[in-house]
Amino acid sequence: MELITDRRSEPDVQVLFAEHYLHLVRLAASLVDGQEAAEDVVQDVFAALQRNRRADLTRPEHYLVRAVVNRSRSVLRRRRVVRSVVVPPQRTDAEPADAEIVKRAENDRIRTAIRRLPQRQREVVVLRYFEDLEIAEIAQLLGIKPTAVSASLHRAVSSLRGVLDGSVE
Amino acid sequence: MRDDVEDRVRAALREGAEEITPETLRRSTLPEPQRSDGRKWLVAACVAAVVAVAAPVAVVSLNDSAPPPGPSTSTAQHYVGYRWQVESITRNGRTTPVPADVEATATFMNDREMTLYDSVNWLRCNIKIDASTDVIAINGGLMTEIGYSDEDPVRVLVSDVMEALALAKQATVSATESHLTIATGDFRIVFKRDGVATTKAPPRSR
Repeated sequence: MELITDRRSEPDVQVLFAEHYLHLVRLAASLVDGQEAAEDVVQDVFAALQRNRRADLTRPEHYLVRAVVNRSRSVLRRRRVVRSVVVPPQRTDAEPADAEIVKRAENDRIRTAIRRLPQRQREVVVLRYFEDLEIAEIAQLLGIKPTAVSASLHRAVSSLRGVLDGSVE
Repeated sequence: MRDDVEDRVRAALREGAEEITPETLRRSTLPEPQRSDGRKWLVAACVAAVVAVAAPVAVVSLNDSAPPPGPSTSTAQHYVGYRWQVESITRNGRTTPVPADVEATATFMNDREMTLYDSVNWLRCNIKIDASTDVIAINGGLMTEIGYSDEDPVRVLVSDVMEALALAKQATVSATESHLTIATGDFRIVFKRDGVATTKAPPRSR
Protein backbone atom coordinates (compact mmCIF):
# COMPACT_ATOMS: atom_id res chain seq x y z
CA MET A 1 0.00 0.00 0.00
CA GLU A 2 1.58 3.22 -1.12
CA LEU A 3 0.78 6.42 0.58
CA ILE A 4 -0.86 8.88 -1.70
CA THR A 5 -0.27 12.00 0.30
CA ASP A 6 1.80 12.90 3.26
CA ARG A 7 0.35 12.35 6.64
CA ARG A 8 -1.34 15.36 8.11
CA SER A 9 0.84 17.07 10.58
CA GLU A 10 -0.36 16.71 14.10
CA PRO A 11 -0.65 20.44 14.78
CA ASP A 12 -3.18 20.74 11.98
CA VAL A 13 -5.37 18.13 13.57
CA GLN A 14 -4.91 19.76 16.93
CA VAL A 15 -6.13 23.04 15.55
CA LEU A 16 -9.10 21.42 13.89
CA PHE A 17 -9.93 19.64 17.10
CA ALA A 18 -9.77 22.82 19.15
CA GLU A 19 -11.87 24.73 16.69
CA HIS A 20 -14.52 22.18 15.86
CA TYR A 21 -14.80 19.55 18.56
CA LEU A 22 -17.67 21.02 20.55
CA HIS A 23 -19.69 21.89 17.48
CA LEU A 24 -19.16 18.46 15.99
CA VAL A 25 -20.26 16.80 19.23
CA ARG A 26 -23.41 18.88 19.10
CA LEU A 27 -23.96 17.87 15.50
CA ALA A 28 -23.39 14.22 16.29
CA ALA A 29 -25.74 14.42 19.25
CA SER A 30 -28.48 15.50 16.86
CA LEU A 31 -27.82 12.44 14.76
CA VAL A 32 -27.18 9.64 17.24
CA ASP A 33 -28.95 10.80 20.40
CA GLY A 34 -26.98 11.35 23.50
CA GLN A 35 -23.84 13.18 24.33
CA GLU A 36 -21.82 10.11 25.22
CA ALA A 37 -22.39 8.48 21.87
CA ALA A 38 -21.81 11.80 20.14
CA GLU A 39 -18.46 12.25 21.82
CA ASP A 40 -17.49 8.74 20.86
CA VAL A 41 -18.39 9.50 17.27
CA VAL A 42 -16.31 12.65 17.14
CA GLN A 43 -13.41 11.11 19.01
CA ASP A 44 -13.44 8.32 16.46
CA VAL A 45 -13.49 10.82 13.64
CA PHE A 46 -10.42 12.58 14.96
CA ALA A 47 -8.66 9.33 15.78
CA ALA A 48 -9.29 8.27 12.21
CA LEU A 49 -8.13 11.59 10.89
CA GLN A 50 -4.82 11.18 12.64
CA ARG A 51 -4.33 7.83 11.00
CA ASN A 52 -5.75 8.57 7.61
CA ARG A 53 -2.96 9.86 5.46
CA ARG A 54 -5.25 10.29 2.53
CA ALA A 55 -7.77 12.58 4.13
CA ASP A 56 -8.63 15.48 1.90
CA LEU A 57 -8.59 18.49 4.14
CA THR A 58 -8.81 21.15 1.53
CA ARG A 59 -12.20 21.89 3.07
CA PRO A 60 -11.75 20.68 6.62
CA GLU A 61 -15.16 21.68 7.90
CA HIS A 62 -16.79 19.82 5.04
CA TYR A 63 -14.63 16.79 5.65
CA LEU A 64 -15.37 16.74 9.37
CA VAL A 65 -19.12 17.16 8.97
CA ARG A 66 -19.20 14.41 6.40
CA ALA A 67 -17.11 12.16 8.63
CA VAL A 68 -19.42 12.78 11.57
CA VAL A 69 -22.50 12.06 9.48
CA ASN A 70 -20.97 8.88 8.11
CA ARG A 71 -19.81 7.72 11.50
CA SER A 72 -23.16 8.54 13.07
CA ARG A 73 -24.88 6.59 10.34
CA SER A 74 -22.69 3.64 11.08
CA VAL A 75 -23.41 3.85 14.76
CA LEU A 76 -27.13 3.95 14.13
CA ARG A 77 -26.89 1.07 11.71
CA ARG A 78 -25.29 -1.14 14.25
CA ARG A 79 -27.58 0.04 16.97
CA ARG A 80 -24.98 -1.00 19.43
CA VAL A 81 -24.10 2.26 20.96
CA VAL A 82 -24.67 2.59 24.61
CA ARG A 83 -26.78 5.62 24.74
CA SER A 84 -27.05 7.91 27.62
CA VAL A 85 -29.42 10.61 28.51
CA VAL A 86 -28.00 14.03 28.20
CA VAL A 87 -28.28 15.71 31.53
CA PRO A 88 -28.82 19.39 31.02
CA PRO A 89 -26.59 21.61 33.09
CA GLN A 90 -28.03 22.63 36.39
CA ARG A 91 -29.76 25.92 36.19
CA THR A 92 -29.22 28.31 38.98
CA ASP A 93 -31.58 30.97 37.85
CA ALA A 94 -35.11 31.37 39.00
CA GLU A 95 -37.90 29.10 37.97
CA PRO A 96 -38.65 29.62 34.32
CA ALA A 97 -41.77 31.36 33.33
CA ASP A 98 -44.65 29.28 32.06
CA ALA A 99 -43.99 30.40 28.52
CA GLU A 100 -40.46 29.11 28.75
CA ILE A 101 -41.64 25.78 30.08
CA VAL A 102 -44.04 25.49 27.20
CA LYS A 103 -41.32 26.40 24.76
CA ARG A 104 -38.93 23.81 26.16
CA ALA A 105 -41.62 21.15 26.03
CA GLU A 106 -42.27 21.98 22.41
CA ASN A 107 -38.59 21.83 21.59
CA ASP A 108 -38.36 18.44 23.27
CA ARG A 109 -41.29 17.29 21.20
CA ILE A 110 -39.68 18.52 18.02
CA ARG A 111 -36.38 16.82 18.81
CA THR A 112 -38.18 13.59 19.58
CA ALA A 113 -40.00 13.85 16.27
CA ILE A 114 -36.72 14.45 14.47
CA ARG A 115 -35.24 11.35 16.09
CA ARG A 116 -38.15 9.34 14.74
CA LEU A 117 -37.67 10.48 11.17
CA PRO A 118 -36.16 8.05 8.68
CA GLN A 119 -32.40 8.30 8.75
CA ARG A 120 -31.99 10.20 5.49
CA GLN A 121 -34.65 12.73 6.43
CA ARG A 122 -33.10 13.18 9.82
CA GLU A 123 -29.69 13.83 8.33
CA VAL A 124 -31.09 16.33 5.90
CA VAL A 125 -33.00 18.15 8.62
CA VAL A 126 -29.97 18.37 10.88
CA LEU A 127 -27.67 19.50 8.10
CA ARG A 128 -30.18 22.07 6.87
CA TYR A 129 -31.38 23.52 10.15
CA PHE A 130 -28.48 22.90 12.49
CA GLU A 131 -25.55 23.17 10.12
CA ASP A 132 -27.35 25.74 7.96
CA LEU A 133 -26.11 24.11 4.79
CA GLU A 134 -27.64 24.82 1.43
CA ILE A 135 -29.41 22.11 -0.51
CA ALA A 136 -26.51 21.77 -2.93
CA GLU A 137 -24.02 21.44 -0.08
CA ILE A 138 -26.11 18.76 1.60
CA ALA A 139 -26.39 16.91 -1.67
CA GLN A 140 -22.65 16.97 -2.14
CA LEU A 141 -22.01 15.93 1.42
CA LEU A 142 -24.43 13.02 1.33
CA GLY A 143 -23.57 12.05 -2.21
CA ILE A 144 -27.12 12.37 -3.49
CA LYS A 145 -28.91 14.64 -5.93
CA PRO A 146 -30.20 18.02 -4.82
CA THR A 147 -33.67 16.98 -5.85
CA ALA A 148 -33.43 14.04 -3.47
CA VAL A 149 -32.37 16.37 -0.68
CA SER A 150 -35.28 18.67 -1.40
CA ALA A 151 -37.70 15.77 -1.46
CA SER A 152 -36.40 14.39 1.83
CA LEU A 153 -36.54 17.79 3.40
CA HIS A 154 -40.06 18.38 2.19
CA ARG A 155 -41.23 15.07 3.59
CA ALA A 156 -39.45 15.69 6.87
CA VAL A 157 -40.88 19.15 7.32
CA SER A 158 -44.34 17.85 6.48
CA SER A 159 -43.97 15.18 9.14
CA LEU A 160 -42.73 17.67 11.68
CA ARG A 161 -45.52 20.06 10.85
CA GLY A 162 -47.97 17.29 11.55
CA VAL A 163 -46.41 16.74 14.93
CA LEU A 164 -46.47 20.42 15.76
CA ASP A 165 -50.06 20.73 14.63
CA GLY A 166 -50.99 17.82 16.80
CA SER A 167 -52.31 15.81 13.90
CA VAL A 168 -49.48 13.30 14.26
CA GLU A 169 -48.16 11.86 17.47
CA MET B 1 -46.49 28.24 7.91
CA ARG B 2 -43.58 26.35 6.51
CA ASP B 3 -41.16 29.05 7.56
CA ASP B 4 -42.54 28.88 11.07
CA VAL B 5 -41.99 25.13 11.20
CA GLU B 6 -38.46 25.56 9.95
CA ASP B 7 -37.74 28.20 12.55
CA ARG B 8 -39.12 26.03 15.31
CA VAL B 9 -37.10 23.05 14.13
CA ARG B 10 -33.99 25.19 13.99
CA ALA B 11 -34.63 26.52 17.48
CA ALA B 12 -35.25 23.06 18.88
CA LEU B 13 -32.06 21.66 17.42
CA ARG B 14 -30.02 24.55 18.70
CA GLU B 15 -31.53 24.39 22.15
CA GLY B 16 -30.69 20.71 22.32
CA ALA B 17 -27.17 21.32 21.10
CA GLU B 18 -26.55 24.06 23.61
CA GLU B 19 -27.15 21.62 26.41
CA ILE B 20 -23.76 20.26 25.45
CA THR B 21 -21.17 22.65 26.74
CA PRO B 22 -17.42 22.47 27.27
CA GLU B 23 -18.17 21.71 30.91
CA THR B 24 -20.34 18.70 30.13
CA LEU B 25 -17.88 17.06 27.74
CA ARG B 26 -16.44 13.83 29.05
CA ARG B 27 -13.41 14.19 26.87
CA SER B 28 -12.03 17.40 25.56
CA THR B 29 -8.65 16.39 24.27
CA LEU B 30 -7.54 15.03 20.97
CA PRO B 31 -7.39 11.24 21.01
CA GLU B 32 -3.91 9.89 21.30
CA PRO B 33 -2.37 9.33 17.88
CA GLN B 34 -2.17 5.74 16.88
CA ARG B 35 0.75 4.65 14.85
CA SER B 36 -0.12 2.68 11.83
CA ASP B 37 2.18 1.14 9.35
CA GLY B 38 1.26 2.38 5.94
CA ARG B 39 1.82 -1.03 4.47
CA LYS B 40 -0.86 -2.44 6.60
CA TRP B 41 -4.45 -1.72 6.20
CA LEU B 42 -7.43 -3.28 7.47
CA VAL B 43 -6.68 -6.47 9.12
CA ALA B 44 -8.83 -7.62 11.71
CA ALA B 45 -9.33 -8.96 14.91
CA CYS B 46 -11.67 -10.66 16.96
CA VAL B 47 -13.18 -11.05 20.14
CA ALA B 48 -13.80 -12.09 23.30
CA ALA B 49 -15.17 -13.14 26.22
CA VAL B 50 -15.42 -15.07 29.10
CA VAL B 51 -16.63 -17.08 31.72
CA ALA B 52 -16.15 -16.38 35.16
CA VAL B 53 -17.14 -14.90 38.28
CA ALA B 54 -17.98 -11.31 38.35
CA ALA B 55 -14.93 -10.72 40.32
CA PRO B 56 -13.83 -7.27 41.11
CA VAL B 57 -12.82 -5.60 37.97
CA ALA B 58 -9.20 -4.87 37.89
CA VAL B 59 -7.52 -2.08 36.19
CA VAL B 60 -4.74 -3.48 34.17
CA SER B 61 -1.12 -2.90 34.68
CA LEU B 62 0.89 -1.07 32.11
CA ASN B 63 3.91 -3.18 32.75
CA ASP B 64 4.29 -6.22 30.56
CA SER B 65 6.17 -7.99 33.26
CA ALA B 66 3.64 -7.39 35.93
CA PRO B 67 0.94 -9.94 36.49
CA PRO B 68 -2.37 -8.43 35.51
CA PRO B 69 -5.15 -8.40 37.99
CA GLY B 70 -8.31 -10.12 36.91
CA PRO B 71 -11.02 -12.50 37.81
CA SER B 72 -9.85 -15.01 40.27
CA THR B 73 -11.54 -18.04 38.87
CA SER B 74 -12.39 -19.94 35.77
CA THR B 75 -11.51 -19.29 32.18
CA ALA B 76 -11.54 -15.57 32.55
CA GLN B 77 -8.46 -15.49 34.71
CA HIS B 78 -6.48 -16.78 31.76
CA TYR B 79 -7.30 -13.97 29.43
CA VAL B 80 -8.67 -10.95 31.24
CA GLY B 81 -5.91 -8.42 31.63
CA TYR B 82 -4.05 -9.56 28.55
CA ARG B 83 -3.67 -8.67 24.90
CA TRP B 84 -4.09 -11.49 22.42
CA GLN B 85 -2.74 -11.74 18.89
CA VAL B 86 -4.79 -13.55 16.27
CA GLU B 87 -3.05 -16.74 15.30
CA SER B 88 -5.59 -18.39 13.04
CA ILE B 89 -9.12 -18.11 11.84
CA THR B 90 -11.37 -21.01 10.98
CA ARG B 91 -14.34 -20.41 8.77
CA ASN B 92 -16.63 -23.13 7.55
CA GLY B 93 -14.15 -25.75 8.65
CA ARG B 94 -11.21 -24.20 6.84
CA THR B 95 -8.40 -22.84 8.97
CA THR B 96 -6.27 -19.92 7.82
CA PRO B 97 -3.09 -19.05 9.71
CA VAL B 98 -2.68 -15.33 10.35
CA PRO B 99 0.92 -14.13 10.07
CA ALA B 100 2.36 -12.37 13.07
CA ASP B 101 2.90 -9.20 11.09
CA VAL B 102 -0.82 -8.81 10.72
CA GLU B 103 -1.49 -6.86 13.86
CA ALA B 104 -4.85 -8.18 14.88
CA THR B 105 -5.47 -8.26 18.56
CA ALA B 106 -8.08 -8.57 21.23
CA THR B 107 -7.43 -6.84 24.52
CA PHE B 108 -9.33 -7.40 27.72
CA MET B 109 -8.71 -4.52 30.00
CA ASN B 110 -10.99 -6.07 32.54
CA ASP B 111 -13.96 -8.38 32.55
CA ARG B 112 -16.28 -5.68 31.27
CA GLU B 113 -14.44 -4.29 28.29
CA MET B 114 -12.92 -5.75 25.19
CA THR B 115 -11.04 -3.94 22.46
CA LEU B 116 -10.31 -5.38 19.06
CA TYR B 117 -7.63 -3.88 16.90
CA ASP B 118 -6.59 -4.46 13.32
CA SER B 119 -3.76 -1.96 13.01
CA VAL B 120 -6.01 0.67 11.52
CA ASN B 121 -9.50 0.15 12.83
CA TRP B 122 -10.57 -0.79 16.29
CA LEU B 123 -13.69 -1.87 18.03
CA ARG B 124 -14.42 -1.22 21.63
CA CYS B 125 -17.32 -2.85 23.33
CA ASN B 126 -18.70 -3.79 26.65
CA ILE B 127 -18.88 -7.42 27.56
CA LYS B 128 -20.75 -9.36 30.14
CA ILE B 129 -19.48 -12.70 31.21
CA ASP B 130 -21.78 -15.57 31.87
CA ALA B 131 -19.80 -17.65 34.28
CA SER B 132 -21.93 -20.70 33.74
CA THR B 133 -21.77 -21.06 29.98
CA ASP B 134 -18.46 -19.69 28.70
CA VAL B 135 -20.48 -17.20 26.71
CA ILE B 136 -19.94 -13.49 26.72
CA ALA B 137 -22.55 -11.01 25.71
CA ILE B 138 -21.20 -8.20 23.57
CA ASN B 139 -22.75 -4.82 23.65
CA GLY B 140 -22.06 -1.21 22.89
CA GLY B 141 -19.57 -1.60 20.11
CA LEU B 142 -17.93 1.35 18.47
CA MET B 143 -15.87 0.68 15.44
CA THR B 144 -13.74 3.09 13.48
CA GLU B 145 -14.11 2.86 9.75
CA ILE B 146 -10.91 3.78 8.10
CA GLY B 147 -10.91 2.71 4.52
CA TYR B 148 -8.42 0.24 3.21
CA SER B 149 -7.58 -1.10 -0.16
CA ASP B 150 -5.82 -4.32 0.30
CA GLU B 151 -6.66 -7.51 -1.51
CA ASP B 152 -4.62 -9.74 0.73
CA PRO B 153 -7.12 -12.55 1.41
CA VAL B 154 -5.89 -13.04 4.95
CA ARG B 155 -6.38 -9.41 5.79
CA VAL B 156 -9.77 -9.44 4.17
CA LEU B 157 -10.66 -12.48 6.22
CA VAL B 158 -9.56 -10.75 9.36
CA SER B 159 -11.64 -7.77 8.36
CA ASP B 160 -14.64 -10.02 7.90
CA VAL B 161 -14.11 -11.42 11.34
CA MET B 162 -13.96 -7.94 12.77
CA GLU B 163 -17.28 -7.14 11.21
CA ALA B 164 -18.80 -10.41 12.31
CA LEU B 165 -17.75 -9.74 15.85
CA ALA B 166 -19.00 -6.20 15.68
CA LEU B 167 -22.41 -7.50 14.76
CA ALA B 168 -22.38 -10.49 17.06
CA LYS B 169 -24.38 -10.32 20.20
CA GLN B 170 -22.44 -13.04 21.89
CA ALA B 171 -19.43 -15.27 21.52
CA THR B 172 -18.21 -18.45 23.10
CA VAL B 173 -14.80 -18.42 24.70
CA SER B 174 -12.27 -20.89 25.89
CA ALA B 175 -8.79 -20.12 27.12
CA THR B 176 -5.59 -21.46 28.51
CA GLU B 177 -2.67 -19.44 29.74
CA SER B 178 -1.21 -19.27 26.26
CA HIS B 179 -4.16 -19.43 23.92
CA LEU B 180 -7.63 -18.02 23.63
CA THR B 181 -10.36 -19.23 21.30
CA ILE B 182 -13.42 -17.20 20.47
CA ALA B 183 -16.23 -18.53 18.34
CA THR B 184 -19.14 -16.66 16.89
CA GLY B 185 -21.28 -17.45 13.90
CA ASP B 186 -19.23 -19.23 11.26
CA PHE B 187 -15.93 -18.05 12.66
CA ARG B 188 -13.58 -19.45 15.20
CA ILE B 189 -10.58 -17.34 16.08
CA VAL B 190 -7.54 -18.61 17.90
CA PHE B 191 -5.32 -16.10 19.66
CA LYS B 192 -1.92 -16.34 21.20
CA ARG B 193 -1.13 -14.37 24.32
CA ASP B 194 0.74 -11.23 23.40
CA GLY B 195 1.40 -9.47 26.65
CA VAL B 196 -0.40 -7.62 29.31
CA ALA B 197 -3.23 -5.29 28.38
CA THR B 198 -2.50 -1.63 28.52
CA THR B 199 -4.79 1.21 29.39
CA LYS B 200 -4.67 2.48 25.83
CA ALA B 201 -5.74 -0.73 24.34
CA PRO B 202 -5.73 -0.39 20.61
CA PRO B 203 -2.33 0.04 19.16
CA ARG B 204 0.55 -2.18 19.75
CA SER B 205 3.07 -0.34 17.69
CA ARG B 206 5.77 -2.31 16.12
